[in-house]
Amino acid sequence: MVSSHTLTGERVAVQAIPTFEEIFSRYNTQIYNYLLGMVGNPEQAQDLTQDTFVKAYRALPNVQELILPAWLYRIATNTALDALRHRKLIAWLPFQPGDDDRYRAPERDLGGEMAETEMVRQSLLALTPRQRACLLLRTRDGLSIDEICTAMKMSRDAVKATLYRGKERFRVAYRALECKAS
Amino acid sequence: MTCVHVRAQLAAYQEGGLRPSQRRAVALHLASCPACQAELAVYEEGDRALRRFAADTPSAAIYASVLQRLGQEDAARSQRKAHLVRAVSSWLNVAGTLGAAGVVGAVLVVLAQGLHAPAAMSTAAHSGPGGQSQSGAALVHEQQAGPSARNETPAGRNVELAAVFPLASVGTSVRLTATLLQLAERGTLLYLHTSDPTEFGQDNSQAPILQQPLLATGGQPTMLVPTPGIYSSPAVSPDGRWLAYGVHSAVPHSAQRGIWVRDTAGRPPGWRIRVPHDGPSAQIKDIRWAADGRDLIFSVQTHASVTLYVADARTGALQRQYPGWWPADNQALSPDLRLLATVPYEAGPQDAERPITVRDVSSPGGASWQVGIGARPVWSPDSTRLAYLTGPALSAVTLTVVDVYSGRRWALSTVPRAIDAVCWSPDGTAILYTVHEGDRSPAATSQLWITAAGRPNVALPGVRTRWIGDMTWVPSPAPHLPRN
Repeated sequence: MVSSHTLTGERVAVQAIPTFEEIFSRYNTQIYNYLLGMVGNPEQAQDLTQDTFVKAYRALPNVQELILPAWLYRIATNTALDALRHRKLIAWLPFQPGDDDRYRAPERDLGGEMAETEMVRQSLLALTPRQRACLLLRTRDGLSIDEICTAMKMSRDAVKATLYRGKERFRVAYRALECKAS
Repeated sequence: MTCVHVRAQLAAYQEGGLRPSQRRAVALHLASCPACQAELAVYEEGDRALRRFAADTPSAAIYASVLQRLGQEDAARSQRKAHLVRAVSSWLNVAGTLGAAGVVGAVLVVLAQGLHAPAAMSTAAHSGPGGQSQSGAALVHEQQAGPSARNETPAGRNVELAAVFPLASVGTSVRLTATLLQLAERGTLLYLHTSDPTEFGQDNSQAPILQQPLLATGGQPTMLVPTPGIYSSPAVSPDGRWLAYGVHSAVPHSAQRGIWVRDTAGRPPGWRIRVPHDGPSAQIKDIRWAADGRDLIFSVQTHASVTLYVADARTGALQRQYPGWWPADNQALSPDLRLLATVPYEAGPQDAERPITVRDVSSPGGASWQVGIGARPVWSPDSTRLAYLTGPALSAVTLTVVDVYSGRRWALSTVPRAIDAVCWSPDGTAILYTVHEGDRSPAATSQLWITAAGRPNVALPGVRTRWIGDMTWVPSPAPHLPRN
């Protein structure tokens, strides 16, 4: 806490704010792993982490109230959604998010050796990007529903509906992979 | 409640999202249904797996890449600006030949403003902090490539610059205050000091040059030039290595008069540049270093005239000169030596509202345009913005900043007293100025204030002095300055 004087001589207590460097060091691992969950590809997650922090630096001027980490997650989510949208357009993505009807478990024989990480990664791909974002933010990153509302720019009801549907779809996919593996 | 109903609500149940009555009903069913319990267990297992998922450590190179990208974007923006000014200048040359310079010039300048800031003029004067964002963020990184960074390793430089939060980006006043203090913490101030302000500015005033951290928490300032003398306008080179200052014409021995340049590490003896018009009535004013750290910009003011010079800091060889308007602080050459800001003198009070004109002096017949109404322009370190004072009288002065390329203006602060000694922070994100308490009486003191993109201004408690004349905010950390 620092104290200072305003122009009128009034003494005020002010909260020290984090520098960009501090924001980066504190959140870069979290953001990277969230993006890795979103896109499922380490190289792309790394690129998107860069994009996120570059955008964050540029967006800071217009921020009226810095609510961390929700603000950062919002930029990361938008960045990931844009990237996924683009990837869908150019249609060479190694996986494709689908809905329940379209989803099918992988054809290849997993031979009971599928690591948990791979099962989670593949299950996540069965979700729509927004469902994936809600589920990761809530379960992996531990954000509250209100924080997810900020991060996703969605209403509480919309977040809840997306989250529950995402959980349900994740369960179906995860269960299918588990059966396949065993 | 059937299994189908329960399973449709299991996700919400597990998240605690059901109404109490629904929750009780689901719990009741679960207690007696192993199949639904197994479904719930899959949810819980999935959650555990998700929490363990993606716990990688990202590459350490991401941070450097982020900084590099920011730097590249800013460099590209600066190049676009410089290119546009050159284009405007060359078009004006052509137009001048055709006898239509005025009309074409006006069109091109308007065009230039429009290209850089589509809403420039409509948002002028009182834009909030957000409006200044781009330049604030940009400057930190433009500074990376500047001369002041020459002595730093690339890695060290990146860390240092990233730590300087872009002040203009700060949206709320509380955080602005904290950030200004953070920035000030990194700064060192060099200033002229006199114990008797009634004598300040007179030819015989004794004004030693002192050095003090901006946020000193105690102790005495260091006397940087050990012999008290009659000095003016201390200025430290962009790399923090050299201090230039004027030695007043009233010094009895003419061999001492001129601009002295010395090593800030204190290694004697330094050297002297003789200035033109070195007569008893001449005063050396407003010494500044060019951005390349090679040339010095200064004015010589006599009772009758003012001339602005550019001279080689080492040899003293004159490079350019511009006849100016009295008093000397009504013209200023940008650190990149491209733009000359002038406030033509007319009869009336010194700070009366007069047009400030900027002229591109990098080529003959360069563009000229008006950027504001006011007096005493001071260039930002990156040569894109001017700080100046406006106000009907000395008693209510507004410190204003204008982006000379886009025409956007920000009224930073209005003070019910005279503002003096305006200087930019080395990274161009904040401005320091003094407000004098008491009007040049022996009891008068100077109070330092710092401001960026709006209120509040912050009074710096560290520097306590009787009267500050000229001052300069040294790049920090200043590697060569002696420590207190």
